[in-house]
Amino acid sequence: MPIVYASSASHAPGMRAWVKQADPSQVEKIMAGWDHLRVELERAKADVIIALTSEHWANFFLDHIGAFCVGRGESFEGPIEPWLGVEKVTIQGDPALAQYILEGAYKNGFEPSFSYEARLDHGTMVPLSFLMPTPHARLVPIFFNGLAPPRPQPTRCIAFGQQLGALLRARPERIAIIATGGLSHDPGEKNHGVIDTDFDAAFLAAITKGDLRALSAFSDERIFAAGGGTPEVLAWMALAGVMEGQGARQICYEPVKAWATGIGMALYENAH
Amino acid sequence: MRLPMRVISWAVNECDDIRNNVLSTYELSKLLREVNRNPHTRQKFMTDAASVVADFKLTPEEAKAVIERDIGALYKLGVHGLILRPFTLIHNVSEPDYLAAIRS
Repeated sequence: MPIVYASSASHAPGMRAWVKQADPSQVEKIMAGWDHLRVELERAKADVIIALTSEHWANFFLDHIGAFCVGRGESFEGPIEPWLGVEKVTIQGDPALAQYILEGAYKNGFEPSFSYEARLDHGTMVPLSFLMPTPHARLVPIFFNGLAPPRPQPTRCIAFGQQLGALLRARPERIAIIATGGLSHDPGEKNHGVIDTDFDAAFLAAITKGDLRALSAFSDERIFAAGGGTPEVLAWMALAGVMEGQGARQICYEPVKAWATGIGMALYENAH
Repeated sequence: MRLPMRVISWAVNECDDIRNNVLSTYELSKLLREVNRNPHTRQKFMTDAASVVADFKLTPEEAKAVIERDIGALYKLGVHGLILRPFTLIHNVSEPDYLAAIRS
């Protein structure tokens, strides 16, 4: 079955926790963007959502951290942050699909780790709170290590996405896939508030064109120089890989000072 | 206990040796992360921080910084922003106050 929906979007906590601090005209555009993505997702009538998402110390510490981790739990709870302004919910998982993804990845030359107990933080819950305010689809989260070096290389993330896309299209379910994170931000660090609009523009241009070669050319150093949180865009790269060079439409881009993040959204309008 | 680990170039633009070469604060970061994500630890910490601190192998300097919620000291000790900022959000520290503390 073709993929029925695909989008990438930022997950900055401010979109829920600090709405009033931001420029109202920017908030309006961003909320309109979420509405657009939510309506498209509802139209797609997905059975399950694959979330390519970020790790922020919710699940892994330096005692054990891998490049990619597939959540194969029966259900997932989140958010873990009491200050986020998102009500805690339980979302049904899809252990059978998660196992299929794992087994397929192993055959395809990737060995992701897996977790039966993955917890969801703002990285998954901010987007889901907009896209699926009432949980109606099952969830398989796949966590990317954008935190602790060595981080996976862009080329590997794209290749991971390519093999994942082939696996998902061989399934009978109606599958939606979202990537979350980015764009440039340096959360909690000295450059908190600095937004690298040049990086964001170049990155979004490559995403909208579906230009896998241009995406591969971003080095870890360039991405990290755009802020410590910016490697979250590895999940966007993986989704570009899933979509095999299909272009995406930029739904919005706003560098929001109060949220210290370049907020971007892209929708694969003719996902297949 | 200080663990000589090769870790985490947390910040590229504002480099200093602690943050870029050594995570000397493995146990400290672990403690703060537990407070952030575990409601039981969080509750215990809010009522009796010293008892939580006693469960982790901190240096006296680290223990003092935690108990006093000394944000600037915790940052200089090397706690990652994505652990420290959530920790301060639990304590209702505003963003300007947080940034002033880590930039001091």
